[in-house]
Amino acid sequence: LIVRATTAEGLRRAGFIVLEAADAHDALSYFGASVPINGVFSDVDLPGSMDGLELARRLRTEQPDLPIALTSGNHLFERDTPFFPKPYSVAEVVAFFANVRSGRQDE
Amino acid sequence: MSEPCILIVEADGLVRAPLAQYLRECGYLVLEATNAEEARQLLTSGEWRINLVMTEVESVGGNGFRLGTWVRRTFPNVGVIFVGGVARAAEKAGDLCEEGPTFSKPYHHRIVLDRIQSSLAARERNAKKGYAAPYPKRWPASRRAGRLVNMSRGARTDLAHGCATSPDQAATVLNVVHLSVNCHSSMARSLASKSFTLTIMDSLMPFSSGSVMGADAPRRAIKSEMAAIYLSRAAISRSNSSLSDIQHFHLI
Repeated sequence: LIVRATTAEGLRRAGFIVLEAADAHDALSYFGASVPINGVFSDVDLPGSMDGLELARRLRTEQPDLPIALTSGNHLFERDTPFFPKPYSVAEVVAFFANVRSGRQDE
Repeated sequence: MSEPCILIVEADGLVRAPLAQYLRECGYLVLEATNAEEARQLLTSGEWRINLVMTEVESVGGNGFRLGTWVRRTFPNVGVIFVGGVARAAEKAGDLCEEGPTFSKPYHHRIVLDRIQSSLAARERNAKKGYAAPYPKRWPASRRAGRLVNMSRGARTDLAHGCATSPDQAATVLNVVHLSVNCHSSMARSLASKSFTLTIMDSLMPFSSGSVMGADAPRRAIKSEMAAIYLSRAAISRSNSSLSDIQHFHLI
């Protein structure tokens, strides 16, 4: 939670609009309400019945181009998604999404 | 980080996020907790100097009042505001905004309420349609407008789906356009009255419903062919023209 709030604040100070979600269903709720979202940063280890991997898979099924990055304290699982091992630096996450943003701008 | 800090405790992100964003625009640092336990963690972490807790009374883990009592006992210097219901929360946010530390009130709190209600309604609608999540990946054909032409400069910009869904995309498209931060609803009225099929939404909080601008929204235009340009405050402040320039933009 502290990490979530700190990361969100770091991204906001870099000019991003950040929506916070407590779990995967909370995150999907934003998509379910047609809120335009340009990127997702999620912990793999989420409370509740859906973890970050499943969340990413579900989002990617619907929106293959949606930039998604994950984080976890467990570094061992297979992954094909940009990944920030914990403890990560907020600056790195900000840099990642700044790159995504500039990539979109170039399109 | 010297701005006053407000902690919002509210379970539903579609309610919490617009309220939080509104208060940020008024100059507050805003933290978000989805339940009472998260609120306790944020308060006791020592990471932030929280001045005020604004808590929903029912949805937050069953008992916002208990949280409030705990806050008052544990942190006597931290204010507590209880809100019951979305309308009351928006009203309270409006009051806080009036007393905001840095900026003038960016817009009426009624707009926040409209945003919340429209996004809640969209969630319900989408759920009925079977769009549990995420939302449909393409705008419907009726919303795919053509091209946006800057008549004044002859520069032509294609909009793939008739809308810009990110501030950057909007800024790229409208890089000569400047909106005064508070003018979006009057601008929308102006555009609607001229039967322009272009709607520009100042949407820091990118809740996409056409009722973002509430009663001021050109609802008829929204139902027809249109382009929706979402501009963030950042995009707005980066640009440097005026409302009159916008009227040089025609959708063809």
